[in-house]
Order: sequence, then structure tokens, then C-alpha cells
Amino acid sequence: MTPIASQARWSPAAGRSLASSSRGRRTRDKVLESAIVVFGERGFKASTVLDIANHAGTASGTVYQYFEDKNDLFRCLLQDLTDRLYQETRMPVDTNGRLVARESVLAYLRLYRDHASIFRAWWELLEPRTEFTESWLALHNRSVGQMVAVINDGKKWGAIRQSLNPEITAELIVAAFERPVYVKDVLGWSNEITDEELAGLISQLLEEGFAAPI
Amino acid sequence: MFDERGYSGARLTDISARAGLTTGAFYRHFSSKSDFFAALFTEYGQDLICALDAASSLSMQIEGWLLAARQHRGVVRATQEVARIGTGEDKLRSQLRAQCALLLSKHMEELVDPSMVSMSSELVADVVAQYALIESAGWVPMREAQAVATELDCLIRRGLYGP
Repeated sequence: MTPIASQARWSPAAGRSLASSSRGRRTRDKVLESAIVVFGERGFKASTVLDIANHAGTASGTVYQYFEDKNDLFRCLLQDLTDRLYQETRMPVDTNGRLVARESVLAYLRLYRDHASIFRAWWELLEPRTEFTESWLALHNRSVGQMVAVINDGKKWGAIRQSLNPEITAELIVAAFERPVYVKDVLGWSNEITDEELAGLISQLLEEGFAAPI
Repeated sequence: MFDERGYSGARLTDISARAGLTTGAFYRHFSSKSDFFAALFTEYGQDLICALDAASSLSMQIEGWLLAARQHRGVVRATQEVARIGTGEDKLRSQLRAQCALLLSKHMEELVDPSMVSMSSELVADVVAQYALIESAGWVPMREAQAVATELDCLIRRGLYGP
């Protein structure tokens, strides 16, 4: 699946380069890894390019060889993550057109855990509105749009009750995917629930609700 | 002020001026902006807890939550900005989440298998909190709180599928 067309792909800023030598590539990778650690520890706003350079054991001039500024670094990190999000977190339906939430929740949990530092900085950057808000909203709105389509299909063949409001319910379902995973993997508020339990819970909410006899 | 400019964009001089105070007078009441935020957040938390406590059904709790979040829209928006882990704000938020989940569980108990009450109440709390956040940022149209509550209540009771 290709990223949506309106999203510009990250590429080095004017005068900056992708490293050409293998040594340069190692340095650049180290800078990116350090950026992940520093953003994760201090949050985006409190981090500086100097912090990142210090963590990577290079001069800040080396960082500026590859990246224009802190935003550019984060944009580069986010590119890889949004590519994976677009590929791995679709709202899958089974052959009967019913949502299969379980695998999707597990995929979200894995992605959030592997990239907890980036997600943490990203959520922190949602307000006030910036370019990073736009990329988050694009993903969010894509999920809501897919969910509305699934619901409308289900209503068409009578699998989903007619009184249901597709837009509101889609928004609520996407919220059920986004927030608990963020709370568990990034904020760490609900460590007592396992991935399997959370995936099972969300899946049950969608398939039969919580009140159904088990 | 947080609603218009976000947390970091809202300057203390502007907040004070809006309230008809000097910055000096502001500092007699609050030691810092983060102290001021904590006070506003506590006020929001109290209103939210009152609303959840007073509601006589799950659906009315959800509606009351959304309405309380609208009353405190600037605070709800700003919490996202101050979400950094390990800060006092983060602790206030996690405590409020736990309190809200506990209050929801009063009515969830009537619906859900006892072993699932706590987990499912936390999930519902997260869904409502997320919806309120998205609404506070203006990313969804302002809908009737009751309509949103009814949809979530139906989802909780019956899921997506069924006649």
C-alpha cells in the first residue's frame, strides 16, 4: 500500500545528504538512534540537536550535515513509522465482511512498543497544530474512513443494525484502537493487562459487545 | 487561553491580563504555569467525577463526560501537550483515568461478567477520553453529546453486529 499522495515523502533538506560512505551511514544511523533515545527520554520540545549529538558521540556539525534541524530529524524518523503504519494497521475484514480486530490490535501494540519514543514525541506534538499533527490526522482519518466503509457495507447486507450512525461509531472504534494502545505502550498506565487480553477485549467490543453471554 | 493558543503558546502575562490581574497578582495565587495548569486540571477532574457520579446509567455517564470535557475544553486540549511521562501532570492524568474507570464500573457491573468489569471499564474510559480529546481539538464536528453516548452505549451492549 502506498502512502497517500498529499503527504510529501521525507528527503534530505537542501545542502544535506544521505551518507554515501559506509562510515557515514553508520554515523547517520547512530544520530537517528540517538534522536529516538533523546526524544523518548526528554520529550520532543525539551530535546536539542546538541543533546542528540552528545548522545551519539559526534559534533552537532555532523548532525547538521545530514539534517536541517530537530524537526527535520523527527520528520525522517516519522517517515519510516508512517510507512509501516499504512502497511500494517489496516482495518481487516473476513470473507463475510466482518471486522477482524484482534490481529490489527496486536499489530498496533507491536508497532507502538517498537517505536514508543517516536509515538510519545508525536502525540506530544499534536497540539498546537503542526505538520506532525497533519500526518497523524491523515492516518487517523484514513482509519475512520475505512471503518465507515466497513459499517456501510455491513448495513447494506443487514449484518449491522440500521439505526447505527456510521460516522460516530467509526470514530469511537478508531478511538478504541488508538488510545488503549497508547496508554499501555507509551504512557505505561495499564501494564497489568496483557497484549492478548487487550486485543481480545477490543475484538469482543466490536463483535458482540461486552454484555453478550460468553 | 489554553483553548485559543495551546499550553506553551499561552503566556502568563496574557492569562493574567485576561483575568484582569497583574502578573505579580497571578504569582500570589500560583507558583508557576504548571501549578496553574494543575489547578485547572483538578477543577476539570472534580467536575468530571461529579458528572460520572451523578449519572444514573452508563449512557448518561458518557454524555456527562463529554459535556464536562466541553466545559473545560482548553484544559483537555492542553493535557495532550503536557503529556510527558514522569511529570506531575502525567500523574494527575493517570489518577483521573483510574477514578473515572472506577466510576464507570458501577454501571458496567450491571452488564459485564465480573471478571471483566475492571478491564472493560478502563477501555471505555480510554475511548471516551480519546473522543473528548479529538473533539476538543476540533478534528470532528461538534455532535450531540447524547448521540455519541447512545452509539457507544449500544456498542458496549451489543457490539457492531446484529439486527
